[in-house]
Amino acid sequence: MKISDLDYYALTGNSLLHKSSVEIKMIWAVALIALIVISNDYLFLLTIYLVMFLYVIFSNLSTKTILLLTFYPLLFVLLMVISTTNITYEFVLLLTSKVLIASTTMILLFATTPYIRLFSKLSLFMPGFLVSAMFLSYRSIFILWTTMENIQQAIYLRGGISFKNVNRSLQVIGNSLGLLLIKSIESSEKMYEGLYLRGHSNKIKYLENKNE
Amino acid sequence: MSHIHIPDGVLPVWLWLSGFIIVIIYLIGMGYYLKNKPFNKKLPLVGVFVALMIIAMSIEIVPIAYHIKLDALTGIILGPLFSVLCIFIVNLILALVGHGGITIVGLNTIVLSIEAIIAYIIFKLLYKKLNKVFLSAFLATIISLFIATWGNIGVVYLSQNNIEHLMQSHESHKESFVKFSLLEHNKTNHEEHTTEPKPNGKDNSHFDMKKFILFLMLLGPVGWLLESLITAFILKYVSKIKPDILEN
Repeated sequence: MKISDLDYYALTGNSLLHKSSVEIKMIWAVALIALIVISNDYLFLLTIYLVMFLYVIFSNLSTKTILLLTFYPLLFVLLMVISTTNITYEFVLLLTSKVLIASTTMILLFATTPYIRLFSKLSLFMPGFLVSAMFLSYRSIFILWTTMENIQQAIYLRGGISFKNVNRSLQVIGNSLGLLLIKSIESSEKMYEGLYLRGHSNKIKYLENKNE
Repeated sequence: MSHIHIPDGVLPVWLWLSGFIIVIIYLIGMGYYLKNKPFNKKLPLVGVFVALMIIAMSIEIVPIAYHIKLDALTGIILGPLFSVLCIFIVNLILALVGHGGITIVGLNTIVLSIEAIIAYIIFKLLYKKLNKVFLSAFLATIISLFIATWGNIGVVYLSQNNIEHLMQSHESHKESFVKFSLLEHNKTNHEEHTTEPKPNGKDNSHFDMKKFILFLMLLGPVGWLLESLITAFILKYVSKIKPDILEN
């Protein structure tokens, strides 16, 4: 998962989808997901995926990153394919097209919409505390990611993780995540105090809503 | 292994919709619980736990491509009420970045929440009796993972008919093409070259539930063992450095 990369594309990109309104993109995403649920015609679904694939190729988005992310859920199709006897290629194509349309839709939505704009629209039909928790979660990912990178560097400098000694490696992973957990809790306490002092309630208010 | 990795459009609508309805009922209850509280201290904690889970998921144990989830750890530290919220947000963010279907967010939340709640209950019981963090955490995690994997199997079992329907839907599409070919061949009197459609109108392909369970039960224990050991090491470390986290 490269959430930081997607966030960067969402903020700096200049494609057609970046310029489209968030509402239109959300309706488009819901419509495509509904289509995946309803349709079992693999040729139709593959055609739709082909259009999306061509868009990713010819838009000024980072093609390699986006495609790698969209292909990742294909690993899960493998489990279903293994568990099916006398599988036909049509069924594999149907599953593959469903997976690829779903992942490409969500990634295109997320990679072309800054998270503040996306969360502000979600707050229209989601409870305030949920959007607030999502917003805090999203911010925390970037804060903790930097901490994790520093911990990883420290582990590397002290010999790293070796699979020759599994017990030691698991202990190192456990200790580093334990340290990250303690730092996370400390960070959440600071975050709570900061927000509480600023009079934060369980709902995040967006300036963007007033400007629109 | 307890995370449902099924693409959108495979599960029956009633099943994933039920998952969402249960989660919505939980969210309404949670909203009611938080209504009279100005700003709950646990909301930022939920936020950092979501981040922690997402970061932990990015650490892949290379030889078996397993990624840790920390649902049990979240359940043990956050408790049942807030761990469900945390798990729901993790699933929602993962679906937004294409790492799992958006329609199965509800079901995944239920299965993983069961894991977190069971881990919380077992850990509390064992820690009270044994007073050994590592052992209590290890047993709580491995038992909860085992039960949650069966939750995953249960979901697949309930959607078995739908999976088979999917296999046959494109087959009937193919059959109509075969029938069309038959008519064409009849016209030119070349019946001997035509293919007979299958007697019951169904193909031989079917989803093998036993194979699926066998596959999960063969790979699962490796993942359960790794996740349980890592969770136990994390909690042992936390109990040494900041024991008040466990006591609270």
